[in-house]
Amino acid sequence: MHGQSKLKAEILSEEEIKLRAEKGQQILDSLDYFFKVRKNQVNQPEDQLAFSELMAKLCPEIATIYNYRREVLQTKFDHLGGLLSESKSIDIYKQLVKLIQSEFMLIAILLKQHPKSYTLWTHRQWMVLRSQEIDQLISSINQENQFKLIEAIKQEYELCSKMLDRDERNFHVWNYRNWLSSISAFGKEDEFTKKKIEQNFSNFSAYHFRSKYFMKNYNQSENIIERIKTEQILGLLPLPFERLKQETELIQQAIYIQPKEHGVYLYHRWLVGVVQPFGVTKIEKVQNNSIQLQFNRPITNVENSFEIFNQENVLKIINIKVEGIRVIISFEEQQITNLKIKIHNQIYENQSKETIISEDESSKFMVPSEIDLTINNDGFTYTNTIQQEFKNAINEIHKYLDENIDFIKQVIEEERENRFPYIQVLYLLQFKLRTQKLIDESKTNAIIKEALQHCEQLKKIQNDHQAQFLYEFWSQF
Amino acid sequence: MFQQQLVNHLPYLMALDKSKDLESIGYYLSEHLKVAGGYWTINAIACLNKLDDISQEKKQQLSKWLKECQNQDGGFGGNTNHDSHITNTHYAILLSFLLGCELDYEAAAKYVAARQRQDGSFEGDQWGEVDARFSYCGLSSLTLLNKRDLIDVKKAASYIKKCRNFDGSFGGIPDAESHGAYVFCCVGTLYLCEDLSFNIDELSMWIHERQTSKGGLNGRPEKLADVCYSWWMYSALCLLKREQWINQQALENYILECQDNVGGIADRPNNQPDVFHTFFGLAALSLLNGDKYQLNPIDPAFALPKSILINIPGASRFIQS
Repeated sequence: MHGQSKLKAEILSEEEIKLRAEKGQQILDSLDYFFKVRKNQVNQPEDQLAFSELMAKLCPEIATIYNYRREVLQTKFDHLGGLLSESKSIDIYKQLVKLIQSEFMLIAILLKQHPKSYTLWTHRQWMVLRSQEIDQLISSINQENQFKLIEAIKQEYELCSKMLDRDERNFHVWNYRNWLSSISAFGKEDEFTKKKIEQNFSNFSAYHFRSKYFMKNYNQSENIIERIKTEQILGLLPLPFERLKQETELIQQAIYIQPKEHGVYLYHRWLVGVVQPFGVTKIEKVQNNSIQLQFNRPITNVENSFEIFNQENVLKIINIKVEGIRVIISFEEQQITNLKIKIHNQIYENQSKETIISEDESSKFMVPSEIDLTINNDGFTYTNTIQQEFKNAINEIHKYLDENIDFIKQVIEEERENRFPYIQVLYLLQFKLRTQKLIDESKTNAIIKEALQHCEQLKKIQNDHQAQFLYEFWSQF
Repeated sequence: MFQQQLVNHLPYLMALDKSKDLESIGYYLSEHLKVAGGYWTINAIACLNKLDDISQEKKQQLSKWLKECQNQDGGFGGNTNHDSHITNTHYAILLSFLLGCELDYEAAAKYVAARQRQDGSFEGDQWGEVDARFSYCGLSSLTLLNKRDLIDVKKAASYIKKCRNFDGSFGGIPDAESHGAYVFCCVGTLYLCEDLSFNIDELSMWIHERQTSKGGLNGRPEKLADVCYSWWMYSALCLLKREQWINQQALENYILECQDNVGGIADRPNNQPDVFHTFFGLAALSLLNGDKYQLNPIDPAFALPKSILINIPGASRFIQS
């Protein structure tokens, strides 16, 4: 259905049309017979496996054929498995292994023609699970180590490598490989994704899974708590800061070597964006039963972070509503004159696993602060004080952001007609804007001005919808 | 060749059931796609406002065949005799509304609901494949049949949220790479779960970056544009009220360019048309500029004409105005 060029459409002779019609009718007749077999309306063929193999090769996309084949296979596995348990016969063992390996072989052959078939990958996954069950059975009777385990997973990684060499973006293969990693300890994701990236800097699938690897490896609660001990506040980042800087250097090299590829910028954007801290930048509204706060970026999972005092008295928080960058905290209605709002980073303060509830990769870097708010005749005034320790950490992050912005600006110098670095610098400036809001709101105008300049440049080299869109986006600030 | 006009695709669509597409073996090998094919064909005809061009006799014939596709377990296969699957069950339900026939909805709903797992995800059939497509089929089917109480809607939403990636978009299963077609499945599911609490701007920005210089949308970075993404992602933008985030005129022009001047729409300009791309091209056009082309608007959540949806009680509160 996809990618069928009209220019390739053949002009067939009447003879050829007749032959094709006959072949087509054969397929329909075979299917007709298959369904009669499936419904037991006729006798089962003597060799059900051979029969279903013929059908699978004839119509590789028909799921029902594989459903039937799995039923037949399961019966054989159960039968041979039972015999093996009893007899520990080497002959039975060989039959079982042959059955499994030839099935993997058959699916591999069909996958060559249909590498994106959900049906085939599901069937292969099922086979891996069955072969694992059989390995368990073999282990249970293997006191004299007379039998070698099948250990299908090793060969499955090889299959993935081969198939990704043929089509490095095939998400079926990547997902399958990822699944293998989740049920075994074999996959060396760091090395593998690095290898694929080195083969082609624009392999976005490799970057995607590399980012997942980093999150799984460094961003679990245990990792964070350990890192806080040695890195203090910067330990809250999803990756160790040094590792992040190393990885950033690698992607900067990739951008430098291949500045016209899209994928490199996307990965760079993720890396740099992962350090974004978040915190309160404004009090928008104060009423006698609620306050509305604005954060520097859209947030989630901040419900446990607030403590509010009305003149020394702790207020009971009734509800916390989060809407993008806005948080509305409701409390019992009362007369407000002085409010103290404490924003906590529970993870940093308590350093216990229980406080890390969120899966959001950046949500751990909440910047704690203390807000002192006074109501007066014209409305209200407030001060927002961030701990010095956190201010220092944000400055470190700011340096990292600036370094990356400067890098992209260098790329712009070399690649004046290439829109990618312009779009990239706009994203990085957005990150910087968010961080700047936490430190010093007064300096944000300079950032917005710079961004708009880049938007103008982008419009000059590519006056399309994207340029217009980004210009309007930045103009709203 | 730049097509400014909407070609008359009706003859192409009407001829589909007669032609055995003798030049290609593909017809025989797609025997398992008949229910899906029926849905794409009839829906495309409905989008052209020509449902009445199909004779009553033909509709009855199709309805009779469709009923025969329902199995003992309540689910539907892709054709008569094929094993049940949630996708074909969903297509069958949609097709039944288009044909105006009734199926054993009670049994179908039970089959669909039984596909939900503990973690909120949906499997395709008893063999266990899990995917966001199946979550969408589950939510859509049960909403249309007014049987949402048979599943855990909250859990369904929380599973989909696990499919969200760092780039703001969605993949088919947790950890999978973001993909345009899965944006439709995930946003559609979350919309029907009445839980759009994720960063909508981030996703919309990702979709915005999918528009290529020729106006068409690609499914992932560095990939080619394809007409079907016009539907998968533009419908999602409509549900999120971010239609302005892509260049609508350019997308419209791209779809028109994918037309075959004899009839049918292909995945990209100058390729062979097929019913799948014909439907999605027309459906996207109906959202982009339905009035101009006199197309019956296809609802972005259910992918059925609004004119049919208004008669389905379960759907009413979800219909986009």
